[in-house]
Parts: sequence; C-alpha cells; structure tokens
Amino acid sequence: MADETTKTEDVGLIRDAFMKHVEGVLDPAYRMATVILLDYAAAEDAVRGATLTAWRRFQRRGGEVTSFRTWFLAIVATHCRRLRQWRRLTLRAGDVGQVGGPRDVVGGLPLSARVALFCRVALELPDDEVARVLGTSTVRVRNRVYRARERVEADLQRREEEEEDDQ
Amino acid sequence: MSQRQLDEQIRQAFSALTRPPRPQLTERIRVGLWAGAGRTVPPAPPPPLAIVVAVLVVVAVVAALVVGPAAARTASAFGQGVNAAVARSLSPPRSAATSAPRTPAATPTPAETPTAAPTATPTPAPTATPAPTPPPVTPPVATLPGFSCSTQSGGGGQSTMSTARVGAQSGYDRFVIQFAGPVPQFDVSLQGSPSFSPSGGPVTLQGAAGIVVVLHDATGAGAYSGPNDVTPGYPEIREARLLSDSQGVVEWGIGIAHAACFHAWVLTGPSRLVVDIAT
Repeated sequence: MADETTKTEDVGLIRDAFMKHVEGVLDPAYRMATVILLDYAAAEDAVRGATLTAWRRFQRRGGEVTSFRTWFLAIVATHCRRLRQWRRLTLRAGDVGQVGGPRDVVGGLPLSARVALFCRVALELPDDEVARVLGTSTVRVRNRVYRARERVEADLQRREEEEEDDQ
Repeated sequence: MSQRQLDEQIRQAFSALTRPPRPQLTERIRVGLWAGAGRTVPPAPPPPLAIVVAVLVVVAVVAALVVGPAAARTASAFGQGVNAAVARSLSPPRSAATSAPRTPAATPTPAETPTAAPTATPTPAPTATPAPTPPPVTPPVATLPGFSCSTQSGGGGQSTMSTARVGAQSGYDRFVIQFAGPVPQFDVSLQGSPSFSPSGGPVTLQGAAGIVVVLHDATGAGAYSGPNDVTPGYPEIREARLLSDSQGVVEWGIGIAHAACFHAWVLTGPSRLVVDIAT
C-alpha cells in the first residue's frame, strides 16, 4: 500500500513537471498546428491529442527527455500531418487570420515548405532542430526554407507591383 | 529586399495567420491528463505476438499454395485456431483480468459487469445460451465522467454542418461534427451491429457494433467540406460515414470495434458536437 501511494505521488510529480513543460511550448505548438492544419479548432484538438500522446511517452521515459521543445513539437507535427492525411483542408475565408495580405502568401505555400519556413523564421529554430521536428534531414530543411523564401519574396514583389499599378 | 526585411515580413505574415492558444486549451489538456491519462502506462508495447501471428498466417498461405487443398484446409484450421487463441489473449480489455492494471490504484473500480463476449477467464457456470448480440456493456471507464451506454440527447436550434473529424485520445476515440451556428438537437445511441438503415438503403460499416448520430434541423448542403466516409482504423472507431442528409435530418453512422459506452457533449467556439467512445 505504501508503495502504491508513493507511485501515485510520483506520477503526480511527473505529471506536474510535464504540464509545466507543455505550458512553456504550448504557444509555438499551437501556432505550428494552425500552420499545418489551417484551422483553429482542428489545431486545438490536434494539440490536445498530441499532448496526451506525449504524456504517455513521457511517462514511459520516466520524465527524461533531452530537449522537450523539439520532442514535443515533433509529436505535434506528426499528429497534425496524420490528421491531414484524411482531411480535405483548404484555406477558407474566416478560417485562419484575415483575408488578403501577406498571410495568404505564406498560407498558400505547400505544407512542407510552409511548416519548415514557420519553424525556421517565425520560431527561429536552428536548421537541425527544424529537421528533428519535421523528421527530415537538415539539407532538406535548408532547401525547403530557401525555396519558400524565394517564393514568398516573388509573391510579395508581385503584390507590390499590382498595388502600384492600381494606384 | 534584404533577407532581414523578408524574414520580418514572413514573421508578420505567420503572426497574422496564427493566434495564441486560448486559455481553455490549457484547461482542456489538464482535464484530459487528470481524467484519462493518469493511468499508469505499461512499460513496453507487445509487438512480438503480432509478428508471430503474421508469420503463422504467411506459413498457412504458403502451405495452401504449395502442398494442396487438403493441406490448406488443415493449415487454415490451424491458423484459425491460433488466431482465435491470440484474439482471446489480446482482447480481454473488457474483462477484469486485464483492465485492472490500467486502473489507478487510488480509485477502486466498481464491480465488473458480466460481458457477453467470450473471455479467457473461466466462468463458474458456462451458460448454454449463445451471445449473438452484445448488449450495452459497461466498459472500464469509471475514471471518465459522463460515459453511458444509453441514448444521449441535447442541443437545439437550426444549424449547418461544416466539417467532421475523428481522433484517437487516451482512453477513448473521438468523433467531432463542427457547425456554422449552434449545435442542433442531436440523439446519439448505441446499437449492437454496424448495420444502419438510412433513407438511402441499408449500410454496413466496418466494426462489430455501431453508434448512430441523428441531427435534427440540420443540413450540410452547400457548406459541408469534411469527409463523407472515414476509416481511421482507431482502436474503437473503425469507420464513420455520413449516412443521409435530407429534409433537415442528418444521420451519421459510426462503426466501432466493440459495443462501448460513449459520451456525447457540446463544445463552443466553434460549435461542435463531440462523441467520445471509450476504448
């Protein structure tokens, strides 16, 4: 009985530690889920589901994770991409952000380029960490980010030119 | 444009595309962890048994092809026997023997309800009656509040269905219907088979039992952008299909692996009908 009580307390302690870690990375995780799914409500559900998955793995590891942020973001990214496999998601007005402007430029990027660009530029993660989050190689990450930057720059310039023409 | 300026514009674009998480999300996660995921997790998954089964099945197929029909019948019977034995050893989560370790020590489980499904544990007096229809069984979900095997209703008002999705959570699988407007009146009920009889004709989904979700004063016409049929292969939800959408009544069928209790409830912002099915 004493052992069981101790074990329950241990689980409670690990859970508190886990929740503290999660709260520290919830904002980037939720934003990344939104970038992948382009849907606020689905992103919320996905982050919650991924967090419960992460909790089970965290327990198995006895609370030992080398880099919680990388590890957790990788679980969220995998969970979201699995959801996308059977969901037909499109960027709809009112779904995410405001209609028009630069957000459509990044929202219109292909998924792999969009999420790599988000992790690298918006979250300011180094290339190797982005690679671990997305389960790919550093070379591919650099390649995707480079092409995404090129595309965004071209799109923004085209929009500026169109605006000048309108005036 | 310099790279710094470009990155700044990209950051602003992503900032406009995303938003910070709602405070409710933290609370939802906390509730999920405390309610369902507090159970101790088995230290290692048991994949070797599945591999053994797969090897035996392959051997049976090869024997059927090489040796001949007579040997094939023998091998097939052997394979079926092995599969049945493995199924018995793998699928007693509803029996007291295996559900006990998943339950936290601090919360004693109520007395187990006898199930209709055959279990590996010897019963004191084997009854002669077959068990063709699994009645509403109380699954081991004592730690999850709100679960019940009887019909659950709620909602109200007219609404348009916008999308639907499924998800696997700790201790339950989730089916969600999202609406543009309030959650309409709904009835969610459990049935003993995965066969449904919508207006378009009978439909049989994957699984061994079913849950039917009926929405009144609702439609998805012109606004629904989700899938009409999903086979996610989750532990409980095997298939979810939009059965009918006519005359203001929408009907969804969910094929589930076992007759399990569920919890139908409502979330807002946006309006969602959530059906959690115990695994």
